[in-house]
Amino acid sequence: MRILGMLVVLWVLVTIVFLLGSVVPSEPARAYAGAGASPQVIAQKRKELGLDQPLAVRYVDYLGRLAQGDLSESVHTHKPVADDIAEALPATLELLFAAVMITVLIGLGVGVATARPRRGTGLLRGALVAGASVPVFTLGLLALFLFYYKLGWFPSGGQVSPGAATVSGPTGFLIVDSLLRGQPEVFFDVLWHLVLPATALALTPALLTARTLRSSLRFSLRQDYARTARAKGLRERDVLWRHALRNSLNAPLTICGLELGGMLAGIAVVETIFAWPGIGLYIDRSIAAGDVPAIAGVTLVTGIVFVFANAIVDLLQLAVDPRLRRLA
Amino acid sequence: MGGRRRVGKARALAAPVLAALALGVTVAGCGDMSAGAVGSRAAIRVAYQDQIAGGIDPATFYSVEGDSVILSVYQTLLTYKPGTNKLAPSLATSWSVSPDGKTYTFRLRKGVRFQDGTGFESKAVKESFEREIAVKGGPSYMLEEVARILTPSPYKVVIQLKQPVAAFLNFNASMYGPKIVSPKALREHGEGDEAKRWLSEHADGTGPFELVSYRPSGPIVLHRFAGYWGPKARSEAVEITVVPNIGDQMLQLRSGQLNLIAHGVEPQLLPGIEADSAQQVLQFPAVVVPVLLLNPTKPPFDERSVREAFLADSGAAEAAEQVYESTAEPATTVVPPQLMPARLDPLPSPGPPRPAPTSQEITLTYTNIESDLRHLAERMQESLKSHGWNVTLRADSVNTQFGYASNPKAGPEAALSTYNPDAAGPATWLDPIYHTAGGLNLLGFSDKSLDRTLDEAGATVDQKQSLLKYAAAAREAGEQFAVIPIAVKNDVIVAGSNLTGFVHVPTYIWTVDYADLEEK
Repeated sequence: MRILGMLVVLWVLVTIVFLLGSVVPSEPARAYAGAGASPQVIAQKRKELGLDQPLAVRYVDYLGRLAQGDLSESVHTHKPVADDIAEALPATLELLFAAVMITVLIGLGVGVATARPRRGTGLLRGALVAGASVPVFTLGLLALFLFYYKLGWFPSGGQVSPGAATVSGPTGFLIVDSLLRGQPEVFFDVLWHLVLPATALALTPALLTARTLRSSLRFSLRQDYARTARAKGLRERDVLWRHALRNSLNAPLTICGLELGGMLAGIAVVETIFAWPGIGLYIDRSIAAGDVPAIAGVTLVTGIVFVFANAIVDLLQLAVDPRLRRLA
Repeated sequence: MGGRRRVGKARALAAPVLAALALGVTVAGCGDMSAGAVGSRAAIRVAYQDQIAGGIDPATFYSVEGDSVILSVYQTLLTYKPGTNKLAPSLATSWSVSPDGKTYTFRLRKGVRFQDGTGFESKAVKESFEREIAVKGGPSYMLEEVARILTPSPYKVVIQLKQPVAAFLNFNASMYGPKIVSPKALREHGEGDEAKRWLSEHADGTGPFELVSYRPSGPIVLHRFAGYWGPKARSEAVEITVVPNIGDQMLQLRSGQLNLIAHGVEPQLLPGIEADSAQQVLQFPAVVVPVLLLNPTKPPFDERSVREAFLADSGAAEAAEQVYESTAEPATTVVPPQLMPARLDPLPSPGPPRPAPTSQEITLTYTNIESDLRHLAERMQESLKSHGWNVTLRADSVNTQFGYASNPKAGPEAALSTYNPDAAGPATWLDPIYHTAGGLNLLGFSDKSLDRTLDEAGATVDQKQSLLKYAAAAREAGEQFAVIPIAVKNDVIVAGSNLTGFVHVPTYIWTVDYADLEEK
């Protein structure tokens, strides 16, 4: 039912994008054919692109092709949108994966570190609130200025350095392919390029996760089972790690799931700032170019990524919380 | 206890893994910083704002970002003398045109090699031209009138046209002009698609650089071609990265990671850059023209006098001066002066400002990706309002602007766009913009008499007579106040002060010849 519901949501989204594209006057055939093209050449290009058909026919044709994985041709890159996305998606997934890892590491670390009242936790809490309220583009620009321009620790952008050897296939994930092809220098180069964009993307969700985990942990540490554990002689650290933490993960995981949506939205900004060649950069350029097939294609793919990511979060929640398993 | 052991084991594993990652990242980082973006200091390091639309197949490439790569790797039969629009030999050493203007004979250069090592002969021209016609990409209209291509000898090619084309020689020297691709590459990578897939990401031409690596999203790496027939490129390599944000490009330039920004720096930033001794600003006359289009297919601009009043009240020249400062000249001719002598087609004056003749709401749109057009539109709106016009602004994509051409009545009343001609010569400016069937005639301007003059000029074999006819057409077009050039922009290039050897051609926009660049 859930998958069916999501399919309906994706269909509605794609339909809205298609109709918006049809309402706005546009003429990709003219852009393809060239400034000096004769009306006959333009008409021929319109025919090739199916633009000479009525709207309803184009819509049915579009959905039919969509069902077969054909997302039409991009006006901007002149290539099949599916090819463009297949090229850009691995880079985005690498960035997203790295950002999620950083979110989990920082969220867990800071959440646990601030759960028990210690000297300085108030200050840290203030920093968490402040950090979580900084917009992602500010973080990105600040990171570039400080860590690239001033300190020179990290590259300013891109996925790989210009002189690095080219790696292609088999997975499309540069970080995986470089290892499979035995090119560790490329692997580390990509990793080095990942640090700033992934951190900029992850920081706000990480701090939100940390705040949520901190609250949950504080609640759990006041529960009877924690008191019993202490009465049995367990050290406070063990009470936290072995008993309270697992019981407190539900809320942060829910936040992580919600924040994934935020990350997907923020990815266009981060990829543009750091010239990361993923679908965020692709959609940024496609929107500017009024490239409806590309916008519809990316809408569909990000929707699918969001559904999958949330499904993984749901499974994780089931794994850590037996109560949910019983309810399920 | 079990839980504690698991945590302990995980920690034991995590520590060396994290240490290795940190070491690797540090090594990668150090490598980059010491070697200047992993390349060598012998490499020219350039940034594009966008990936090359559609790849680097010269038969389909029809954008601006990417022309420097195409022109470094491939060559046309003719070229332009540096800094001018005068034709010069390239792969053809001489050429002649038959009296009827329909047969062009090119004598080809000997001793030229493709980057795959094979020799250049007339069959390469024939195969490349035929491929371009078959592929039907954006530039293929330049060969639309080709009837036959003959190769009477290895170093002579004869091209017969269906009818005279005034701009044919200019087409063969232009940025989008037909490039000569290795027949060997076409044969080996044809794969039933005219080698389109292969050539979109690979290259095999006769230019001073060869393509060694290409990723659509960057980096693109060119190396000096040792077998080049002409003077060897001064730099060993060119590395091109895609950096969408101009602010990031400036940071990279300041840090030395980049040493050339070919376009996109706002005029207001230039004084600050010029004050920095580590950087230099270079301006080259180019043919990049912001144009005001008024929609003559519907009220109120279906009346010439209203169009004239709108232009008079718009303060377009003052707006252009404010927006472009020293990087552009206000337009004074219908055809940019680089394409036709300025004395032949002065831009008519719309007269002094006057009260708006209509209260109708005017929508003035501008291309969304060009911030200069937005600034221009805002200043013009201000001036127009002060004369009683009711103007609203809207940003449109290029694709949307092209859409007006199909149904100009549904288009806006006025639009600002930027045009650059595909080649030198007045035909490449006047035909697409002012002819009823012109590809850039977006708001439906139509004047049958002007169409006839343009058609006649295009078919006139005598160059002088053709020029005079185009000049007459330009004056006629100017008097209509429907498509009005606002300014002629320079190509503004910002570079490290140690970069020398800038060679520029006015119609090759956003491009300098990489072969002449050298880092001192």
